[in-house]
Amino acid sequence: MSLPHRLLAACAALAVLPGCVQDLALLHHWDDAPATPPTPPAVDPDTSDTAVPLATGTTEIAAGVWSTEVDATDAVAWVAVDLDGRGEQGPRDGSDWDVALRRYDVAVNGGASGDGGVEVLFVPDVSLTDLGTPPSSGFTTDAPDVPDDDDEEPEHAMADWYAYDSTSHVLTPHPGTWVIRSTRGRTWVLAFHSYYDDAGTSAVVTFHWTELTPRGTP
Amino acid sequence: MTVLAIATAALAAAPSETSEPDEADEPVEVVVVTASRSETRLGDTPVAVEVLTRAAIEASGSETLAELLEERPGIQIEDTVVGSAVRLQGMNPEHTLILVDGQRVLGRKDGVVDLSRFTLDAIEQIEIVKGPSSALYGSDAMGGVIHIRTRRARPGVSAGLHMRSGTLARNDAAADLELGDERSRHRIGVGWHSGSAWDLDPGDPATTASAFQQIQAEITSTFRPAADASVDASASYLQRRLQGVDSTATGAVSDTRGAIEDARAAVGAWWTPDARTKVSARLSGSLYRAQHLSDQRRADANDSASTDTERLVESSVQLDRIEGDHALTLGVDGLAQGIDSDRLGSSKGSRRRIGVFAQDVWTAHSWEHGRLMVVPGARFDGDSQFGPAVTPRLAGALTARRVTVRLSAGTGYRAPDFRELYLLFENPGVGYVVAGNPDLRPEMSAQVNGSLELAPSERFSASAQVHGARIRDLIAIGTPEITGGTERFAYENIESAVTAGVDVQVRGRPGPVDLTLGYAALVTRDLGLDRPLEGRVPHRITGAAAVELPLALRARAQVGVASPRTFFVDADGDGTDEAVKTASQVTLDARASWKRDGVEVFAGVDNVLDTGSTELAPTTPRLLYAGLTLRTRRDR
Repeated sequence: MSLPHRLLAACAALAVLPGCVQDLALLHHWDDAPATPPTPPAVDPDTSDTAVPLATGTTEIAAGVWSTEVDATDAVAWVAVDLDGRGEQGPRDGSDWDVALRRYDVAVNGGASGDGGVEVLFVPDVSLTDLGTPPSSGFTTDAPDVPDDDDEEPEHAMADWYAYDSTSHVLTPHPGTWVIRSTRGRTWVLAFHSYYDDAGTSAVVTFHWTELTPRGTP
Repeated sequence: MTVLAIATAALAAAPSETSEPDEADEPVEVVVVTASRSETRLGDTPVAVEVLTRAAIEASGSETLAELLEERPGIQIEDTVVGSAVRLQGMNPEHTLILVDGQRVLGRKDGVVDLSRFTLDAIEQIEIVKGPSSALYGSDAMGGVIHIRTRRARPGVSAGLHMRSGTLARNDAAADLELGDERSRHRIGVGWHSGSAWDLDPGDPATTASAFQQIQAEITSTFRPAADASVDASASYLQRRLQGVDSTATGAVSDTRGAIEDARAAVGAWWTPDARTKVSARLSGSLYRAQHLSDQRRADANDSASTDTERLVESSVQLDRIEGDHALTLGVDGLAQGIDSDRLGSSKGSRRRIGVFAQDVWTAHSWEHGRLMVVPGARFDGDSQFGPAVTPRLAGALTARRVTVRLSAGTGYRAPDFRELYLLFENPGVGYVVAGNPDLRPEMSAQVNGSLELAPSERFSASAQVHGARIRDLIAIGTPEITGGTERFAYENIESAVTAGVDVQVRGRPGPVDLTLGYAALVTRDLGLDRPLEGRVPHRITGAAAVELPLALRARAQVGVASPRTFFVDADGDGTDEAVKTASQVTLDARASWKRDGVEVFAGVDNVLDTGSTELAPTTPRLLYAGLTLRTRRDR
């Protein structure tokens, strides 16, 4: 083979070299999320028996006060939470759920979003445990979509639960407490704690909650 | 030198090398190609060309193109999260066309071609044309052209080795071998470069710049089957791996990995059937592949992996002919470009473009020591995506024994890139979406440039350039639509802007000292927002001093002083941007070397003052280095 031919062959070899770096995603040793704790026994939604374990994702952080973490990272599927059912989480396809989350959206089981009759009221700048007797009026529920906003979503009663920093893109809960009349007529108070989990993942929402009267167990 | 270059040069009554900017050991005559797409003596170009020759590159001590250009007046190099970006005359990075031996460079990210990936091992000469050059080069050449010309073998045998090691785990090594005779010459070069990550903000776990490892190889061959013809072939491959840490305001920490591959191959030929005619043709292909992954620590929600692959085939045929007082250039360019990307809404994009260009360097009048040139030129581009674009330019140059005056007025354009047209990117970590817009129009500009070059003596020269531009249909991110917690950004033709400025450079060689002093002033205005374009340096002073010392020693220092830059940030979240100014910045580099008989030993410090450590204007921290260069040559 003459020198020009050898050079051309070398050029051809160089031209096809891209791709010689193997797929980074296949070679990389990914840092996985911590293992999910074992699933607790199923909860009977009709019981308020404290002997029944709290639902997955819910822990007691003080006497009669619970913290629930909801993985709402899916941009399509809602995660429904049944406050009356000890924080049971599941698809938004039943009738017992009280609130549902999908990323930053929060729906309540009432009005345009459901038949559960859930109503909510926001009391600003008051913490969960300092809330006295809430106003008896002013409760709202999800309303039908306003066509002008082009989102084809109901107007959620709890839509304004956060403040958004357009520079850092960080969501921060507005200080205050939500009073929620549930599907079973109980009155819960709920305060959003964070939109992020410990690893910084967005849409892993944590809220603290308790029952207003009587203060008891979910 | 080609026959055409000789013929062109013969039209000049007197040589003029006043633009030669830097360093000793310059060749007697510098030939450039960027000003008119054919070889022209530097002093005879219709538009001003700034040249960095191999000697200037070696004397600078720089290892990358970004380091080399950062102290040039009128050129702003910014360290950004997507690499080292260049601004010519205040324009955006995407407004500078970057060529390697006439071949467009792929791999723009957010409009930025990372100049730090171009190591100087294989570069023979860098030619910079500031101002509109779309009349010859078409899209992207609004702010100017940076043309990298790679090294070609000379007759004989030559071998070189270059090694450098420094702080920040910087290691550079390059070797090359050249061999050939008058009929065929070949060069092969290899290089390896690495550096650690660095961080300007210890308060968060993120790195400011990623660690990198780069390997590259290139091969070039030139054949001269006859005295009036030449065939040239080249191929190169570059691989750059990156490793860093990213963090968000939400507390998410992610390890990032990247792998970039850049391959190019080209074949070109020219033929001079007679002393007044030159025909040239070129065919080239480029492939650029970029992989990126982000692995969130202790979680999987923000994990991502993506691959972008860009392909480009270019062809050109050009005729250069001398007819009396006219040096005519006619040519046709063809371009086919494609991209596969996980980030594009349609995952694929493609375009084809054909361009026809013509330029006439007309010597309207000549006398014993000078001449007056009038240079009309225009280009027509037809693009499969946005249709036709016409970019005319009229330039004039008056050269006398010690003075050259140049004026040009022209238009430029930039076709929207695939990202701006088709991007669909969601950042789940911080909750925003960036979307492309297939209805975008090309950006258009109208610009004027003027320059004055003086060389009253062999040891003193001065030059000044003034420039002004108005850009319309500037593509930018529009006002975001906020839906819930997600902002949706989209590209739009929303802005008009003006830029104007002056670049001045003075060079003197008193005795063994070589002094260069530069000043650049820049005024910009975003006409839509009624405020300056952000990130520009309004005033900048540069200086370099090199001194030849006894015992073959040489010392060199260069300094840059940049006035504060203004950025606009909605720091308080009220929906209105506030102006945030960086501090003024002083950078100082120093280098000493000993060179004799093909051996050079050197040591130096970059960023001696360790300045520029801010979030808005990050600069590589102080770097100490030392190294060795060996070169042996045997002429045939």
